[in-house]
Amino acid sequence: MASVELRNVTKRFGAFTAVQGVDLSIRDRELVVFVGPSGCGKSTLLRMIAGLESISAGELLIGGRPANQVAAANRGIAMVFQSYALYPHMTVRENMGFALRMLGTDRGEIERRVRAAAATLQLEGLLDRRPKELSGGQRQRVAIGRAITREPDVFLFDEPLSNLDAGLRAQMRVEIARLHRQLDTTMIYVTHDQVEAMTLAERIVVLNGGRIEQQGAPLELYERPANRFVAGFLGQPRMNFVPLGGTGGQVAPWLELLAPPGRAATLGVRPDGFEIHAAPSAGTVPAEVVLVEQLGNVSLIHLRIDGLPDLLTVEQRDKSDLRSGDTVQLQPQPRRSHVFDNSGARIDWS
Amino acid sequence: MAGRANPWTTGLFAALILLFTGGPVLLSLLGSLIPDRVLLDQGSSLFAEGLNFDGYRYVFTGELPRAYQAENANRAMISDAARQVPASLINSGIIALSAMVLNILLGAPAAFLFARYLFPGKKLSFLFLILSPLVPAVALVTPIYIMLQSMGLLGTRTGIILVHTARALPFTVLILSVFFRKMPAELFEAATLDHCSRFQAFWRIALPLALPSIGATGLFAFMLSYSEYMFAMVLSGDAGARPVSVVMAALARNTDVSWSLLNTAIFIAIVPTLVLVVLVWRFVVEGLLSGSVKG
Repeated sequence: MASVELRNVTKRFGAFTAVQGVDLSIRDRELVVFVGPSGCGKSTLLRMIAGLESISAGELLIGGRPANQVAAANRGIAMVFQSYALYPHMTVRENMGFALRMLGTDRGEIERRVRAAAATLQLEGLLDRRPKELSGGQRQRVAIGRAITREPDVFLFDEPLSNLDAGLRAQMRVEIARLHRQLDTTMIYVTHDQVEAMTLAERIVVLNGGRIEQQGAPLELYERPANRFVAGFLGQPRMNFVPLGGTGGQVAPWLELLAPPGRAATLGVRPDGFEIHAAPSAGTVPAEVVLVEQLGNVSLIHLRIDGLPDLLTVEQRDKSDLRSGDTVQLQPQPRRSHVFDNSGARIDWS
Repeated sequence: MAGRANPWTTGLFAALILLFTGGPVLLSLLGSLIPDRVLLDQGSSLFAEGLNFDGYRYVFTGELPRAYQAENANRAMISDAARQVPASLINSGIIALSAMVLNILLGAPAAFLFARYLFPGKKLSFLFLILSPLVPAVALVTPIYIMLQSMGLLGTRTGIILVHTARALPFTVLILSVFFRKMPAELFEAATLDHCSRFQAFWRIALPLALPSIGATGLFAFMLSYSEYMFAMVLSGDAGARPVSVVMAALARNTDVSWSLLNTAIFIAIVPTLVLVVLVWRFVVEGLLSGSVKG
């Protein structure tokens, strides 16, 4: 168990800067998720912590000790790779015990730890199989088991679930959360899937363009995104963005209703933050129903407001009676509306 | 797949290929078992006198075939070279196996480094290695002869082994480096985290996974050495270092040589490669297949 601290860490590949001046402090036993679109530097950051990439500038501390120059194997970390990276010519048992064997741990101890990890992950019956005889989910479990047997201070997960199908992914997500509680170790988890980030993380770090956009508890980020990027990245379906352009143009009634400060450039409302009315009233704007998606428990209604560049998505509980072509009156809930200035930064107002 | 090929066409092509590859082997086997008299007499049936192993007996024991003694014209037809075949087979075996082992020992680690690591001069040295087979072998005969002479290795198997190893090494490194490059990088990153040094990553991860390819390239190096003639001829001298390719050439150059004796020598020379192919090939193919069904 250990804390991980990054101080102004930068990674350059030639002229390209992948990670730029990242400051981050991860507490002992915390589960932190790095999330962001592809190419945002999240994997590079993880690989620098692992020691698989050198650090161009800045400082890395693991357990309070400088780790920049420490070899990857000696950092007290274990990593689970996206492709599992199991050794195809070794059995599950050999895969899981390999690191210990390389360290010269005695056979009894290796066997004990492998058995313990196998029990934790329900792999007992598979110890003598080779990776190619396992399903995707089982392979992923072996990859995690390989990390567990090393009893590392810090677990690193590099998009471990992205090769699994949706059902299995949800199941493994729960299992990883359970594992974190059981092992009580620092875990750093990289994903591009915001659902994984929201459900697993104690703290989410949103990265974009090699920088940290925002970090905090999942709901905190969801409810108070620091900028347009975070607001748009977290939440499914995506937040609706409406350009305000001074007086608001078509959506001027909303401006009167919400009364945001004058420098507000964009209004952001999540799909569940709208009210749909049949009759116009103060603060409503007419909108035309373009498409209704019935998902059973909720309905997604795509609406067009004249003069706005994008369709708006509104989520309603239960099934909807609306049909394409209908005209409705749309109104955002003030409590659930966010405004951003020209640079995309959040403006706090009420 | 857009439909299967016509089985008749497939069969025809298979038969043609078999005819061109297996046919000569079969002919030389047949030729070695039938006396010259019958072989050269168009009037009589091939099996008029049955099959006999006189040729083989002469090659291995020196006992003259009865047919030649009876005709009293055996001197020209019996070649001394045929008696050298067994010893030359041993020479060839030692030379080709050594070249094969050296190729694997030197080529596999080199290929691994070229495939997976950056080091100063990597591009240049790889280019040099890959382009070196483009130099015509004839142009190298004299310099290599002088080099081996100064090292005192003329007329020795060691000299030929070194030259054959060097000739096959570019191919070994090229083929194996392609294979090592195809292995996923994450496998070696995992090995790094699992306390493997570079050599251990090579020895414990890359090598076991590459065994089929190593078998195939080793076989290739063996064949290259076994069939190589020019350097073997120039460097082996007249002494006991002669490999089978040189002896076979000497035998074939003798225009008066008995056909059945020549065929005997040819068939004997083919046998070791056949055995090796059967032994190694199954392993190579099995390995390749098991590698292909991952998913």
